[in-house]
Amino acid sequence: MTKVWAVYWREVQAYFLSPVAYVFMAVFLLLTGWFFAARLFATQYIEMQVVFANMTFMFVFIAPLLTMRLLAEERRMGTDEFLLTAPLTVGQIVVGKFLAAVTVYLAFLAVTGVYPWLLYRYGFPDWVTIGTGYLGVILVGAAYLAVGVLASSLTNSQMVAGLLGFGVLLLSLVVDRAAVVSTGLLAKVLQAISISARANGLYMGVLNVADLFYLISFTGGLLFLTVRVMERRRWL
Amino acid sequence: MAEDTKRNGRDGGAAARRRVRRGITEAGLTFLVLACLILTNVAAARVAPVIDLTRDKLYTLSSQTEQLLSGLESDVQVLVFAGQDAFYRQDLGGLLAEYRRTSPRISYEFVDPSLEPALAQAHGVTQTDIMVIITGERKRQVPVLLLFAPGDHPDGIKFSGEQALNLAILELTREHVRPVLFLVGHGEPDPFEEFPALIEALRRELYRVDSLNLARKPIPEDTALIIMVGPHQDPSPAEIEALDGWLRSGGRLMILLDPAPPGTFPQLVQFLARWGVEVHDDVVVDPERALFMDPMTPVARLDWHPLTEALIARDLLVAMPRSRSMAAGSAPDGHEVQTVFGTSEAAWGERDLTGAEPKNDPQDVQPPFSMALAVVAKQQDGESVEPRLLAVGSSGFIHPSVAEFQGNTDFFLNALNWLAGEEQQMTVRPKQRIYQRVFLTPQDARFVFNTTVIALPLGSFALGILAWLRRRNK
Repeated sequence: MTKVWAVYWREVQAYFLSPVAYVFMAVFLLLTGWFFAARLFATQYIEMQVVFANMTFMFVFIAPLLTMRLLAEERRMGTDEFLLTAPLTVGQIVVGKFLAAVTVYLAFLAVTGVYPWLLYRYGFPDWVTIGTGYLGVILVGAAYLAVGVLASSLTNSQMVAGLLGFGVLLLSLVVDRAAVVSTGLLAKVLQAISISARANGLYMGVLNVADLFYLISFTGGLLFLTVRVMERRRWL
Repeated sequence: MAEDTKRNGRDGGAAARRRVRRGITEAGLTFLVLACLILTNVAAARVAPVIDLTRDKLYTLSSQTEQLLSGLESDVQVLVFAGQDAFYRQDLGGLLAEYRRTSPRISYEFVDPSLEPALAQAHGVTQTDIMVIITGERKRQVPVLLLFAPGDHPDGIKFSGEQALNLAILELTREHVRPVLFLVGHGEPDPFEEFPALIEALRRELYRVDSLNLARKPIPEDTALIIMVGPHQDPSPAEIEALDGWLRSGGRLMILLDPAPPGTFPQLVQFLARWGVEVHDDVVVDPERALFMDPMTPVARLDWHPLTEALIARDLLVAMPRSRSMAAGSAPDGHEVQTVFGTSEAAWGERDLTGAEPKNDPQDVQPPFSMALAVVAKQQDGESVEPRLLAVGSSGFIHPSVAEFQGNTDFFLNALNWLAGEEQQMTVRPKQRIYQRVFLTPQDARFVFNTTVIALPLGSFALGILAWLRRRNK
């Protein structure tokens, strides 16, 4: 655990000592803030269902930027050799780096805690629904970050890792959309694999344990693949 | 030299074989783990529970729907002919998925008629936004837009899909529709004008609502029940005789009799007394169970009765504005009088109806007394037999301003179903899904905008500049 913590802490410091994470956060907050205010003014509904969906949509663009450096940069600089020969397992390296990215994402979300506070200031929001909504946003964001981490393990170029991660996430948006507009068996299959369709219930306050399991296992599966990719480099 | 080359070649070959073996092991392991994940997800999708955590249980089907679905004896297929961008896909899809989860007899599918014109044609659908509900050879088309009604806010809508779906399924699976007749001719309010929501609710319960003037025509044979709501004049002896005969022949009758000065309804009071219901000329005052501090609108103390069972189970209250009190008298042979709901011990029946401040005087009616009494035939051989009479001391509880209160509408509809012998329909009904709203003044809106769109992003950006400056100065 201390080894994971060492990797995690190094990455968290790298994130927060650089201005880049703050700029991403500013952009994220500007857009989510705009969506929140516009939705509230237009409908006057005390709910955040649509805002949650917007948050995860915007994170499609930010997640690859946050993760593209994580493993690709180590490989480009040659520091991955030190990491791979250090008394650490590849799993510990991947989990430490992934958790650091998730921490940055949680920091983004923590600031958006102002939105429910504003709803509370003027009305009576359903706190449990807001709680499950945030759980959905966290799980979807973690899945997107796992996609970015896997992309970063496949190349030594940050740019390529970023574009690859973004491409895959864009594809997931296409799947989300196709799941809505298709019919029959295809619709059922697409709905089953669509990340956003799986999170919709949580945004609405409905906890489907199967959706929860899917989102967690999707992230776990991608991290597992990342470990396999890194391991392959170790013995190849 | 040749020896070295040979050895190197042997080593290289062994390393290559090791790599291949390792590669196969890695691929196998990866395949195995991913296959396990997929299989456990497929299994989870079949068995994992779904929990509605919303405050008002917005996504939980009502007891009525659960009863309806559990009683389905044939498969019901729902085809929603919708465009690809239909705004209701999420709401309606979620609802249908819940129906499907509750009953394996339900299946549903969204169909784009432009992609599957043959299927649309086969069901006589010529446009989008049509829901076709099919069971056996019978089918029914419901325009999807009927599931939505304007909300209180110009941009707001209410979604009442559960009610509409239930009605369509009931209409397809129920064999016949029976009339419920509202008596007129004694100053009763016109139900179609005064209680439009209730009339709509009755239609959803599959009753045909009509009015009946007993002075003009007799009671039709297939009548499910007769309701007298808040008369202002006493019925004639002939009308009372018709009602009495109807009851004695196994009819069902509901009388909602508001407080009135003594002597206003001599015939009606006598008729009720003959059936074991003693009505008092008073208005109930209950300081202990006053609704919104109005002691003349008591919240009824529900007694256990088939009529109140569903309400007690859901902890729903019934408010009774301006009710007269009544007491059980002697019922005709073979019949019994049952208390449906009453008041607290602190209540009294105020006999002074002049509008003066109510005060518990010696001449007032003292508890215990009821606000609703049911007269039924005593059970014989375990089976309940006709007739049934329900007397309620107020018609105000179904007035549109109070009907929405907790269990008021459900009590009225349950009472009606109980009288009509449709006990399986006595339940708590689905509510419309209404989003809570907030009222923002221009100052509030400015505060929200400044906080979310300006302050938070700017603060984050300022932190970024600080981090950059700190880095540069190092």
